[in-house]
Amino acid sequence: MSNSNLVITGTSSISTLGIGFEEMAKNLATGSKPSSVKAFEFHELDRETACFRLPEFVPAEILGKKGLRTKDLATKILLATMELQFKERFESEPLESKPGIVVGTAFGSVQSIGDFLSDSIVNGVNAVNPMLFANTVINSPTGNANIRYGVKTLSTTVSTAFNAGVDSIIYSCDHIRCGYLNAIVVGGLEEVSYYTLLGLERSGVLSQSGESKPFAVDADGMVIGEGCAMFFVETAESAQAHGASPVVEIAGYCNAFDPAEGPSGFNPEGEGARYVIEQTLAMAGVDASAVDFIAAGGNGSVAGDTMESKVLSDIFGDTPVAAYKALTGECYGASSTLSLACAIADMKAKRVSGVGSEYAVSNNINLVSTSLSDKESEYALCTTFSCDGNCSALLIKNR
Amino acid sequence: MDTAEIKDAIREMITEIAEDMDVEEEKITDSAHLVEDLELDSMALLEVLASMEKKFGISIPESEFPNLTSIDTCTTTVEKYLAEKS
Amino acid sequence: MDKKRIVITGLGVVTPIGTGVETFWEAAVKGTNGVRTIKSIDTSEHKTKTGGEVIDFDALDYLSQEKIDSMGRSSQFAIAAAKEAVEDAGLDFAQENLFRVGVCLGTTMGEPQILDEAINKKYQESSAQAIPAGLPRQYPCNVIPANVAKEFNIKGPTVIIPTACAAGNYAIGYALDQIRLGRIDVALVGGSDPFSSIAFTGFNRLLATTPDVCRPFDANREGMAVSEGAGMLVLESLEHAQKRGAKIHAELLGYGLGCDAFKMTIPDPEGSGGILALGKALKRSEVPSSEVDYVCAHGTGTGENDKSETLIAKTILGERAKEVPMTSLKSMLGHTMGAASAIEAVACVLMVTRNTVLPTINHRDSDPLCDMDCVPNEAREKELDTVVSNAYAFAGNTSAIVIRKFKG
Repeated sequence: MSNSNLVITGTSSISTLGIGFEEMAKNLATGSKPSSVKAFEFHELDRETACFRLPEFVPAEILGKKGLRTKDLATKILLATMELQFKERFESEPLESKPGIVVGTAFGSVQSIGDFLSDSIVNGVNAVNPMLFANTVINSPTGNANIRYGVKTLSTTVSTAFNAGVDSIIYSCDHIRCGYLNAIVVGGLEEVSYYTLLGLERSGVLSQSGESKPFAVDADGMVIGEGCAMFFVETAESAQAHGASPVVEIAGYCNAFDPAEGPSGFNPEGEGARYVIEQTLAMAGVDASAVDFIAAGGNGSVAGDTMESKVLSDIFGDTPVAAYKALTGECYGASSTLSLACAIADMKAKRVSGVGSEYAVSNNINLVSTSLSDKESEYALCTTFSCDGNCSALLIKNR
Repeated sequence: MDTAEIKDAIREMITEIAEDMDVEEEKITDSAHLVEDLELDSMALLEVLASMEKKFGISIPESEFPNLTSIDTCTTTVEKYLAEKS
Repeated sequence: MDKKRIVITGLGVVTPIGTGVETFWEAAVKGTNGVRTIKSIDTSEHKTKTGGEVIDFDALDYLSQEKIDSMGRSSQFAIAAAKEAVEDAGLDFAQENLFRVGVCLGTTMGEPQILDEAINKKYQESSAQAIPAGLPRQYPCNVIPANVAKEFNIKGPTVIIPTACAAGNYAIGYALDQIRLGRIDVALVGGSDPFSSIAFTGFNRLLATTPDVCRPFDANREGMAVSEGAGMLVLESLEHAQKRGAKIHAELLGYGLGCDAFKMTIPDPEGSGGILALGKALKRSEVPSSEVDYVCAHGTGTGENDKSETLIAKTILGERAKEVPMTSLKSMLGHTMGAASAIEAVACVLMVTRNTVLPTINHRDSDPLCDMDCVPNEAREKELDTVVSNAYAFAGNTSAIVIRKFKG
């Protein structure tokens, strides 16, 4: 068991806020809000659905054209996110100590499974392309990353709905603390899939207005999106040995499960939400008052937002709450890691980015609407709660 | 479908796969060895087999697998099973 | 800091040769073949017609009709196996801090039957409106541990690790970490996968499926058999088990993970990832390879697997590879995908407690390339102390766990 500090020494992300961490950080700063993509090319329902897709993402520009032909979109997003930031470190490390790779996803390969199945229904079971079968397993993007970077040390995929990103980081922290590895490249990934979108659309949880308004009292649902954020997590000793500068420290974390019966899935009492926050603060050895801002999981779905805002209000009073999903959409497995990437960018720029508009919020939390500047932060707490009952929290400390 | 048309269709399939493996275009000849010259792995060969079955509406038994070594031999194999079919 | 000892106190299984630990064990000791003509899907167009299906499972034995209707077959299997394991462990959740009980499972694709039905309906009705509203809440793989956790009101970390055919070992390993780190006291761990037409069609098209039965390590092997099932174990710290007076079945010493980083669907012929995983598992368990009494093989029945797995055993065990029994339960069960290594873990616990090695069935012709003892066709009595179980997967995932007889 290792008691050494865990630090993040690099961040990479792809979302509608930008291709790459720097572009995202810049777009957060200028407050440019991406417009929802109103066209979903293969939409067969009778109305258009707002959606944060990645219109400007050209995988071959980042990855070269070799080997991409049969890869699905999720795999290309993951590989591109990693290529932008971590390629050199993967190449420079010897085989036995290359950083492991851990990826969180919610719906995983559902698009590839659905397409493969559709092909077998329409064209017959012997007409399917065997290369595309490889894409149907949920660990396919992660495995493709291991192959691309020649990483034999670790390849794990974690799935816990909205929480998959942060839960992957928790998995990785546990793995490193057990002394198995000194470094892991870890994060969350999601592509917008046709099958999920249709189901969500029909279940009525998507915003009809097309606006992503976390914690708004008049929010009418979530707007889904896609993207990926990956972090280089390692021990402080490993960072020092490699001359890598710690960006933030992972000071505490906890996950739990607290479902409720019924369609919303969130326990309105927020028992699990309180538990993970309290445990996370306890692990870091700090009080709630030490937290400078919260990167919250709110996404415009009323039941979840109401539960979360009540808990945040009770524990943190008027501590500023950032709701980055206003800018990225609900990117499921990628969501909580995109929020974390935004929080890191904000922390480093001494600001907290706002949701870009003023509106009435539930439980009077101090939601940041217009970006706060000259805001020094030592601690930021990332919270995420899923409609299936998963509750997770992760505390970062500025370095 | 005559031999030239069959060969063109097979060449198109294999070119697409080989280009994805970053094989130089001039290396892709009808007699080039799919594995040794064009770097197709066993998965890619399975894809060639499946694509040919789909394209030509035939069923090629597994025992033919070792004969699928070039665009030329793939063409011969397809012609054999097209003839059997008719 | 001393490592916490981790013990296994409960077992449960759903398999094509029997549901329930005793039914399964009785069938396995006899060398029962669970690979039969498939009944649940139309195989008229597939080259292969056989696979493994669970035939004695009635979800109503475990769940109300209302609950059955709300979840897929993978969750139903998982809950059935979990109920058996919890009962076996004598675990009383009323006495536990529910936030310190975890669920950690493995699977391949989530609830593929939910997706399968939805997409088939879409084409039958020629309408996207046929995609049900419930799909996003019923299909994703995280619902499997969520459904298990809800059944027992568990509130600790509830996670699924979908690393395909190695997922069970990954899940077992992660629960071990969480208990060792003191994050939780006890966990339900395992894996579940239902028979999937997607996997069946895919493996057929890869020409990887056997036309009749599964013959691992046989010179005339013809491939793997797609199957289904679930395996579940109760894992806890020794301290926690002793405190509640639990009967301890066996000790979980450690695990190791690796990756071939070779091809998506083909194992590294050099066995690099498997060698790494088993090597790490033994090292972390502080077990020299000379103490390994039995290897529970991944043993899918494909030529690629047989060759690389033999090489892995020889690399790790050296000369002893020829004498240490290494058997494939997939010869009986077929490949139960994400459940495979969980069922194999359950079988390993039973083997060490009952000093019996389960056989590799359907064996006819020895393969000079696989020149080790696969315990052909008949179970064998043998004193077993320390055993290892390998599991590998698409995308190059490799894993191994180490289980030892509990000696106080």
